Amino acid sequence: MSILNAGQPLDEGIPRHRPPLYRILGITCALAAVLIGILGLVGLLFGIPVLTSIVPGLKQIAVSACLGWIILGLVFAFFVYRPLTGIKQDAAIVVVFVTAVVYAIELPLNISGDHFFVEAFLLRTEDAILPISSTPISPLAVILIIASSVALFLLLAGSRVPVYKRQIGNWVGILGSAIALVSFTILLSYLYGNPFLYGTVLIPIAINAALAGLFMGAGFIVTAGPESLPLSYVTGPSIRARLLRMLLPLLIVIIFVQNFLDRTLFTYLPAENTIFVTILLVGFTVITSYIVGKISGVFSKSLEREQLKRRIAEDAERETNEYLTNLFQYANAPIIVWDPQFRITQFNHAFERLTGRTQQEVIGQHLEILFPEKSKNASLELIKKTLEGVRWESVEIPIQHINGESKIALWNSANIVDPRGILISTIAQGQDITDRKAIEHKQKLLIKELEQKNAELERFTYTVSHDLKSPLITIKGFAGLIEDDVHKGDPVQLEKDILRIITAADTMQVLLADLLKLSQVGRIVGPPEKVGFDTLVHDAVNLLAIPLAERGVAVEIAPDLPEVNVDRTRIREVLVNLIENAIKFLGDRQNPVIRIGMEMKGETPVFFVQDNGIGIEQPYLERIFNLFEKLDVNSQGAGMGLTIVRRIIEFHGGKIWAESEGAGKGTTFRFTLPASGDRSTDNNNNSKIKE
Amino acid sequence: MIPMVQLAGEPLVILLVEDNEAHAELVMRSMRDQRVANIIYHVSDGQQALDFLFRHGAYENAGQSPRPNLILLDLRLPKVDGLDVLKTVKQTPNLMQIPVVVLTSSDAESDIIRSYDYHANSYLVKPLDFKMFTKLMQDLGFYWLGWNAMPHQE
Repeated sequence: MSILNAGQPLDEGIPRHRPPLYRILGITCALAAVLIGILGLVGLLFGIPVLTSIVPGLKQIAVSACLGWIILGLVFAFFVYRPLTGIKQDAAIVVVFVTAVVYAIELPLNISGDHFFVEAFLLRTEDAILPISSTPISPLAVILIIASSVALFLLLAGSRVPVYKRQIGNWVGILGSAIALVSFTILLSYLYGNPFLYGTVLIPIAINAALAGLFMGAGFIVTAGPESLPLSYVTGPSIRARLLRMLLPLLIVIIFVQNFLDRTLFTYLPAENTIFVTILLVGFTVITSYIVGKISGVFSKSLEREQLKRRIAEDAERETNEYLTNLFQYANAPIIVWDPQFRITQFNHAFERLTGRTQQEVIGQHLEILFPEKSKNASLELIKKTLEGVRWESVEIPIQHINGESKIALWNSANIVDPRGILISTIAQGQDITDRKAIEHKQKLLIKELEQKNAELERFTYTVSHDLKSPLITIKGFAGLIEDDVHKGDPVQLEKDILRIITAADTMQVLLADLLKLSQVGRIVGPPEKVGFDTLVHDAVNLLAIPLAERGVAVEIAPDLPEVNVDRTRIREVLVNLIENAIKFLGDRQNPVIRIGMEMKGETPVFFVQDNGIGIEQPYLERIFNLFEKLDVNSQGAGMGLTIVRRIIEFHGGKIWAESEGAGKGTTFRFTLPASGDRSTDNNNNSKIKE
Repeated sequence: MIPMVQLAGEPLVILLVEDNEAHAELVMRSMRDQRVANIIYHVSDGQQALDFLFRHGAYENAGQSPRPNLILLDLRLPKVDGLDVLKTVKQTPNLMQIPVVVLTSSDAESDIIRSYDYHANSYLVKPLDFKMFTKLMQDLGFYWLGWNAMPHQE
């Protein structure tokens, strides 16, 4: 089973803290080898045959064999007792290495039956240190010592290369088994009175040397531990291990018993009782078979139980998997899994909806197919960080829908590792916040629009109060002055002052009428209808036929004007206002011309009303649209015409602006309108928001 | 009680910046009757006011555009806004000492604040009542041209 974010360090092949039983066994075995070595030396020194060859008359243990087992056994015991570190470990490695090398060099010499050179040094020189005689060491013993050195070397050096610990454990176990097996065979050969290598050119190995080898081999096997070969075959819950655990001792017992029976019965019973012996053997075989059968029965029963347990566990696991799969597939949040090469391995339904792609389509593909071109590299950088074990919490990564739309999502991720801590895959779960973002954006725009409207309203009320007050001051003021005029008896002045009052009252009337009109712009916008722009232009020009004729203005209307989708009355009002405005500011220009037409600006048609009148200086181009704004105090009107025009255009979702090269250069008003069949006034708000 | 108002016999000059003809006439006629000797120059938009003060364009001749002793300034003006005129005057070393009195029909808080922010010397709201209007104009003349002490100009 996979573990989420498991940070467990790699299990060591040869654990530092071995089970106590294994440690005790290891130390015991190592010390046994040392003891045999020491006893051998003592035996050689004092001529005690029991210590040198156990059974007097057999091959004696060699001095160098004693030394070898003592050195290796001690190092081994220390190693198992407490794993060596630092300089101690270095020293131990050197000792073991040198031992291996020395014995290896001397192996060829030794095969010729000569003394080992250490022995030669100890025993043969004139002033020999040891006053003992010893046979040369057996080449087999040398090989056992070399094999033990190698195993020990692997144990010591192996702790430095953690990656190969498992393999090293196996190697140590295998070497130990080989050593033990060879030693055991030699011991058996002694037991059966047929010592190994006896009567050959090669020197045979002493029985106690073989015993030491057996101990060392056994020590290596237990030190390699239950996780390594060969013990891994017989430990643990696997069926193989359990079978071996039961049958191996049985087999060994059977072999020994059978053997014993063979030898004793045939040796001691008279020949005529052969039939009895045969019956005995058959009986024994029957009993053995019965025991084996019984064991098999017990075993098979437990096996069945085991299978049942496993099936239940499997069912539970399947159920869990089903839960997980459903949870994954039908979760509302998009979930994705990818491998360390960033290939998509899992992809749930919510993710299908997010991207418009199907599972079949994306599995096995590189992650990059999910991202919009613009943010691809940045997103991949973020994803690469997960390789270093970074976990995301609410990381924003845009995802591309196949229709080209970019979705914004917040992601959380987690890494899935195997028991050894190696990254298998990364799982990420997202939250689509595109709508939220869009709403936030919309909200911001709305707030901005509201603020704008608010400011406009403020300006409006302020302007209205100010501009309505103004004629009132005039009226009251001149009414007061009239009193003076009457007192003074100045009829000329009186008449002038009365005119002032009348003019101010007129101004107020116009103001009020315009204000009413302006307030209606916001409320009364008729349903949009398709109408040719040229129709609107002709209507407007006809309405203004008289003032145009009076001023002698030539009106040029461009051909091929498109259809527009607008409130016809309102847009005609716009045109009337703009043409009126143009007439008003023609100045004393000869041959005045008003041109009305359209130009395409990209995809958008931009309409224009152009005159060759007095023009507007740059700084005033924007101000002319403000309420009651008049550039020339002497001009007619309340200064509301262009304000009304702008409001109508904006209600249609269009824009209006003025252009002029400067004073005397004429003015061009340009504006946009919804085209026919394109945008209706209903969705103007949307189009405004998108801007 | 009538203060000394003649400076070296020179008449005191008022620049009236007012786009409303009727209001301009009201101001001028209200001030005419008082005993403060003054000449009122009337311009009807912000650009003209600046031209007058900086002697540009139509006002190039110094004789036609003497340095005023007082500026009466309306706020909502065509072309250049009253507040912009105020700002320019108060930022120009040569002109910043001239007292500028804002005279407007607006009593909006924002206008008052901004006017003082731009260092207006006074802010007056045109009274609706004619008697009050006349009284204000007279007091204004007395205060700024009579009582108020100003540095001597060469």
